[in-house]
Amino acid sequence: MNKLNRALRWASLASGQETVPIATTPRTAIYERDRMVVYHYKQDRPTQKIPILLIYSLINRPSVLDLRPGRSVVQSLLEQGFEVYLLDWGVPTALDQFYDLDVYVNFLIRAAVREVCLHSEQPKISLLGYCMGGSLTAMYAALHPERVASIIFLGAPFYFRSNQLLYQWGTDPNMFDPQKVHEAFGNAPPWAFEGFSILQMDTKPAKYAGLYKNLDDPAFLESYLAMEQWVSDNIPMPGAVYAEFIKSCFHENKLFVDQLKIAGKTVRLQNIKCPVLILAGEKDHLVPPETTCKLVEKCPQAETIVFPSGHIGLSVSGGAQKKLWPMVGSWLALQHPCNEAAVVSSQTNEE
Amino acid sequence: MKTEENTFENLADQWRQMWMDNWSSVTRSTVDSETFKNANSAAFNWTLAGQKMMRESLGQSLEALDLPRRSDLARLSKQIAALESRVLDLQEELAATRAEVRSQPAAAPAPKAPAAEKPQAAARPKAQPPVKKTIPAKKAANQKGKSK
Repeated sequence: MNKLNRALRWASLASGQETVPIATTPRTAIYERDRMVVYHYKQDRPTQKIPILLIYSLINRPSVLDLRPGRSVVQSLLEQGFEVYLLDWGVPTALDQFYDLDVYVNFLIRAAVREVCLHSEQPKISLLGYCMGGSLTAMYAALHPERVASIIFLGAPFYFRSNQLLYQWGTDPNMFDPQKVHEAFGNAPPWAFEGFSILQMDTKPAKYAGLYKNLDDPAFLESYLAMEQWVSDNIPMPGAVYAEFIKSCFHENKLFVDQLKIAGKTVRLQNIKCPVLILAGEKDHLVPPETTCKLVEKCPQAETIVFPSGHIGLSVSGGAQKKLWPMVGSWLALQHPCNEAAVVSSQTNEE
Repeated sequence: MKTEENTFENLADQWRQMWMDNWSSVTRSTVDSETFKNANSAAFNWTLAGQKMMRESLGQSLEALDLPRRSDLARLSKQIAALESRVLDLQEELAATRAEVRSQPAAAPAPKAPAAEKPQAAARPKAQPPVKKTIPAKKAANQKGKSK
């Protein structure tokens, strides 16, 4: 490839002109409520009894959990014999602008969990909450623990205090009033989350230089394109839940200090009595370890893994796929041993 | 010639690396600074104020045309969600009650059973499902009728 062609190809890739298919694992919808859908992934060899429901953040799409073959949390769990379900919130419209924490926690998550219990014919299921989805999962589990067998928190914030820039900005009530965003736009517009991109402005040249260097590496390009496609696909967030979450969690840290009330009921994280696994990214600048691992103070039974990766790397990096997710599968199998195959498989993975 | 090319490429690489390092440090210090934070905040708040004004005037126009605002419809949407949530509560309560009834032993005395039914139900074996209790009740009623 001559230099001009390389430059043109680089420009085309860097400007997002090319795409690759993402989230391709076969699945069927088992429950639909307006734009929200609960999917069940096709499992040919189930060996684990307790199914797992993945609950993603409201900021972006859940396709990052099933990005590409070999870079997919869903695929990894399926290979370990789990029945996997995914809660896809869908893209909110102006009609959803008054959906608050009460609607999400007491209705939508509860309805999704119930449907998974009915579909899998299990009284209890495991939950995996990613990022803000993890905070919502914790709120749900604290208020409705009866159907929760165990929880995995993946890069999920509970203690909203850190030296990282996001928390310096996000916790300052003088920076902006989230209620005004809700009043002005209805839903928080996708560009309001571009702040996450500004936080990593300093790494942009290195990223594009890396792209130029690896133009001849198809595997690199595939991962790059899949990731860029997902990152640039921000969606709006219902204004009421945005305002409530920023104010109560970021500004006032109410979730951690037992002051958050949803529909008149106080959310107490210590009410989560089931087995808990906390996964934190050592280099995570969005949900640094100190914001997530502190949950151990409220749930002493919780186990923690701090993995050498960033926020997204926890789910899609090659290292996480090889080491972290087999460990997670083993942990889950040990919490709910249901047959010999499950126990043997988890012991083998531990070795 | 090759050496010269290599040297040129090396120089270009060094220059690029230097530029990237400078960019990183300048960007980081800019983004971290209080000035950037304040400017960002001011721009954002200004956008919010403008957008709010536009939204309000649009809402007033819709009101003048006797049409609902988007927020009116959104409020309805939230009310529907609240109703659905309540239906879910009822479904859960119903399922719990059903499970409770199923788990209760059949011989447990029914509080509102008719007087004629009581002695026969008490005489039934414990494992009998509660539904079958109605059959002897009918028989008892018939017997009563016959005796009249």
